[in-house]
Amino acid sequence: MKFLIAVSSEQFSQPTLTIGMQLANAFQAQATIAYVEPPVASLYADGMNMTRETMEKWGIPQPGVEVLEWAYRFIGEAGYIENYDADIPFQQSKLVNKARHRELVLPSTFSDKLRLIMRQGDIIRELRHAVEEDAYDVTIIGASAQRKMAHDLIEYINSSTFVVNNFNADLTYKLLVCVDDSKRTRQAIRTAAVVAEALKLEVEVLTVSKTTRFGTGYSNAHQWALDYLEQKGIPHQGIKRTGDPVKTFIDEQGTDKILVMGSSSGSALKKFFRGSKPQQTLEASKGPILIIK
Amino acid sequence: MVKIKTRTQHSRLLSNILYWIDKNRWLLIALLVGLVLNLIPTPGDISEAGWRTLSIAVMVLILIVSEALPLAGVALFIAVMQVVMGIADSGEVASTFMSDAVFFIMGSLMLAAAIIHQGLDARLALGIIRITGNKTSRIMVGLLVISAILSSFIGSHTVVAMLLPVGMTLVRYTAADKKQTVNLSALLLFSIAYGATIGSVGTPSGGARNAIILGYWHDLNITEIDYLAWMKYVYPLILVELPFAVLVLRWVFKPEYKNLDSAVRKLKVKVAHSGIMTGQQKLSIFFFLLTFLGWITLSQKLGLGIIAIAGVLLYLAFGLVSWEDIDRNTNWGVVLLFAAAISLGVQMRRTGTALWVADNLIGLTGDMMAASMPLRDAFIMIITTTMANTLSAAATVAILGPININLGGDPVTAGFITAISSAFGYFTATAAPATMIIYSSGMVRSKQFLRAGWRMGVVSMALLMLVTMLYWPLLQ
Repeated sequence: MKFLIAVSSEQFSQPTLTIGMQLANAFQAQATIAYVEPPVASLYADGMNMTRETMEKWGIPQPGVEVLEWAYRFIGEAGYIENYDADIPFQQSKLVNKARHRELVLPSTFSDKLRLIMRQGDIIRELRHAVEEDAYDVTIIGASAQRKMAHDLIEYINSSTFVVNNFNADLTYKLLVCVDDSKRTRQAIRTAAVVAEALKLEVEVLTVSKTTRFGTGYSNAHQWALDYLEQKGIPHQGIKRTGDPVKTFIDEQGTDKILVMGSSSGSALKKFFRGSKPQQTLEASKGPILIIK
Repeated sequence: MVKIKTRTQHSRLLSNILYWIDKNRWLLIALLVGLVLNLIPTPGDISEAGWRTLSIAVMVLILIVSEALPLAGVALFIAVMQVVMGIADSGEVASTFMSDAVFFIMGSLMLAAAIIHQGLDARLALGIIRITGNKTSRIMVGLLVISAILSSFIGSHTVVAMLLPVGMTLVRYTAADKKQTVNLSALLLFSIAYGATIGSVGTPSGGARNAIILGYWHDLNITEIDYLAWMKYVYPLILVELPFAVLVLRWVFKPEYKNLDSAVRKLKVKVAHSGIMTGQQKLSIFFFLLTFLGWITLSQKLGLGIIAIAGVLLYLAFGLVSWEDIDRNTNWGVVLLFAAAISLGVQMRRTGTALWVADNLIGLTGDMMAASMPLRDAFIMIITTTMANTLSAAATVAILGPININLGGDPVTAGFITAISSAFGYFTATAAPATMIIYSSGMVRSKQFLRAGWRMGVVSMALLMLVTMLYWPLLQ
């Protein structure tokens, strides 16, 4: 598997990197840490180029290189890098230009397990291109205050998405898996099982019906989830609730559960104008949320 | 199975189409606005061609503000639309794309690329520190003043590119932890950016906007202001603005360190290896002075653009810079955009669009603007400053220039106010090249731009009004 972890700064990306590397490790996946530099107005491109050249001459790294250096040292000290060398110098000259991004190549990133890349442009566009080019399975990103970001992340990035919202590394989380009769529910349960097993987390299986009657599809899916987790030996409990699904998901999640749900398989046009359950949940959620595709 | 696959493919295709629409919505909005303007009846007091030209200008404004197309794409859009909408034939569009003003912009950008290649930044750092000593308050004044003087001749982005590493190095040598130098970073970096922004109006070669206004005055047979005359009008304003910039910056960003002894010492060691000035560096300064002399003495005869290009030719002929370096550091998209914006400005004038917009603006104020010159000047200044903080300064001048010049009163004053106030891009991080570049360093925060910017903006506007009312009448 391949995980793409988007970082922005030391100040804001610590939680994203912590849980991102835990997950990548759990799945024994390759982790790519990406810094997406905001787009520069093309009017100023020549000034930016000149500044970069003089800064390089003065030995001042670009902000993106500094962020990647911090990320590298952070996960190195956390024990995720084999042969981690704390004294390795970070230089702009280690940046290798690829077709649509730049890659920071260090001796200990010269493997399939870890890559450090820089891209420049609109964050959604760049993550979308990165996923298309390198077929990432999961994109991990910090939460954004922009409402539209939820729609764009779910609809335009062709991988599962983990939004690290208010993650507290000192807290013991539970997984809250939202189960219904939709196409991607089983995949969400399987993924949750792997995460729970690797990170030793308990799982709650939540099914919400708008009416007091739970249809066969919902009941079967709920039961299948419980059986699956039982079979895998993962501590779990089932919860059935009645009410508005999105509101119930959020209420049940609180701040100490990681919400896991399948993405919507409805019409793209409908989702564009009216949104979807995962999108509305992501917009309202106060905690981390993993949306499976 | 095949049916499911087909449905998935359709869903994917639809999702891709929606993505394209979503990411290009401003392009579609611009086209839609253009279409609507062309479908509604043309107002009686403007020609068909004038109305169509206005619709192109509106579409272009949307495209530039939203960056829905790359700059070069907007330039091509202007060229294509002028011909397709029957405003001018292809030969006329081609001829309006190239003028001495465009040569001048192109030459100035190429000269800047040639100068940056000479490695004068280390020498500048040494020079500034020798004059200012180790005190933070004096270093910031040094950076501000040197930045202003240099940018008035070679453009703000070149100066910031040379001085930013100096400021950043001083901050990094003072403390490794960024949290300990938040205000120091802002004070030094803003001094560089504000100096460069203030200075960039000082001479015609300080910024593309200045060349565009000169071009309009020439094309409209209004006046033939030469390089030195421009300086006489504008340089006093720069000299008055600089002390205010010092006050504003010191008031807003109180530095954590009053003395930068250790940082200055380390900086001296760092740049000491650059040794004595090389022959190549001396020659490059000499060629720039020669170009400057040409601008002062020969611009009426040869044109500013040809002199700038001759300067670049000298750098190339003597091997002071390679074509590859010039090519890499010159924003050809900007050159093309300015050429296109000037071409559109010419059509706005020719078809009567500029006059119609100007008349309607005057009408909107109940003819108050026509009766009171200070009111007209203030109006030009406010609208230009507002637009320049959302558009680029030069694009603002290219589009607003012909309108402002037609607002009644003295067109020279209107042109100067347009050029100068378009440089008041203090309010946001992205309003001017100098501020954008220091922002991209990651050492200053976006909120700091407004904190210092609104004060600097208000002071600059007040000073410009004073210069307009008290000083310029003495020159006429």
